[in-house]
Amino acid sequence: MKRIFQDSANIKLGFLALLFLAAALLPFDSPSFSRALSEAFLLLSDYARDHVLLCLIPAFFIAGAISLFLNKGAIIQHLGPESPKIKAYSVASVSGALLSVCSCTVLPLFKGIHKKGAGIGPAVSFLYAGPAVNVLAATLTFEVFGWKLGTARLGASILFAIVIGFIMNLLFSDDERETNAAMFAPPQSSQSSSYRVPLLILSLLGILIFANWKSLGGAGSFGGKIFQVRFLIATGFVLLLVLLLLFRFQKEEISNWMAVTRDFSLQILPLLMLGVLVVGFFFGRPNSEGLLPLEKLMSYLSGDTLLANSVAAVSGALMYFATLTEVPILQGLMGAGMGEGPALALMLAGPSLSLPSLFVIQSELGWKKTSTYALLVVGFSTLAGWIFGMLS
Amino acid sequence: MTIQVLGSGCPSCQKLKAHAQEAIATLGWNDVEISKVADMNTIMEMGVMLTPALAVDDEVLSSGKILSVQDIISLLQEKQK
Repeated sequence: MKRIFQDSANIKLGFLALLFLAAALLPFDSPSFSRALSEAFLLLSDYARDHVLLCLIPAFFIAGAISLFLNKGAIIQHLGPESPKIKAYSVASVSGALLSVCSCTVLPLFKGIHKKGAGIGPAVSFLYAGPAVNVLAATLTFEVFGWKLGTARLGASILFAIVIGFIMNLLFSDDERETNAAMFAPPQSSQSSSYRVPLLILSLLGILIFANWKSLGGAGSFGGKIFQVRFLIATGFVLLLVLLLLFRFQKEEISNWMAVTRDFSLQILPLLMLGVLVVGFFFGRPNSEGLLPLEKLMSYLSGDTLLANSVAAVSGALMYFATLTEVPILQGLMGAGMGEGPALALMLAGPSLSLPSLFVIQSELGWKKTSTYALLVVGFSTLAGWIFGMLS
Repeated sequence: MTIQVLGSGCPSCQKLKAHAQEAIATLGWNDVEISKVADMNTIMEMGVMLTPALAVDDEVLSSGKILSVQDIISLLQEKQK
């Protein structure tokens, strides 16, 4: 029996059999099923047209440039045991965007800051901000949900990172630490002290922002005027980018950058595609319906009551979202009537916390500190969603 | 000589390990062993926070980067001298 499964050809045959079984059994002729199926692909087509080309692809290049060219040691040196506390907190709260951390690099860094460096406060700030404050998530949130919700998400994530870290530091002393300043020593090589990397990231950001400029307000307003010349400005940034690459970067660096960007895309795009399809299938596009009638569920999440916000925050904290998939999921839920406040609450609690990640954090901090952390995240997310709902 | 690949087992660590294997194969060194260090405490004690990292006989040569096969070859040759 075991030998049958060891042969990869047999496994392929198994998959093929499952596919045919599904094709035979799924109710393709039922109207609700076929509508859900077409909703899935219509949502995917929306994403492909509106969000992937102009928005996500530049964002992948930015993430690649940051992870390859930015000197990580220069950031980490601010998180050491002797670094001033204020500096440590503020660096930790935005370093997610700069270190471009995926879930597998968060933990060693967290542990390092906690045990060897600036202590539990900045470590928790980093832990929260790592997945929440990153280029890709921020870009897609701004793009899909607009600047209001985008700014609220980014601002609240940074603020929460600092506040929650600070509270954890007040509640728990960390005496069992053995600090090791050497691990946070500034990097010796000083070749990074050049303007070319910031300029590269600036030109990419320029392309990203102006190519996606939305026409806000009338044609006469400032935003409207920029909207008319958005592609001209974006072309200017493209020119800057080309000049930089031609004269300030070596061929090998550029091909490394391409490779890192490719790997990022390969890691994230398949999951996003699958996520969009599943959301489209079950929830449908905004203003249309998928397989599940969501009205029942939405009676808990609609409106901007404290209950709706806390339900959203708790479910966000328990669910696991693959990078970026929180955006289509929320789009589906909001299309079915979820309020903006609960949506924000879910985004603030969602990517940083999940049931699996709680177990991992627990192994480092123990249940007492972990549950305090989770409660703080849920509480603050609920509050932020509630306030945002009242304001908008 | 032992090459140690430090990391939790995420895709980038596996890639680094594959690159190290390829580097040894290219060099034709048969007496080199590649080991994985996945235990977070050990990684910390070695002074590494950015994974994946590469060490040779407990000396950390690079961290936070997926070295190319060529990079690893030149690091190993330098180490051998």
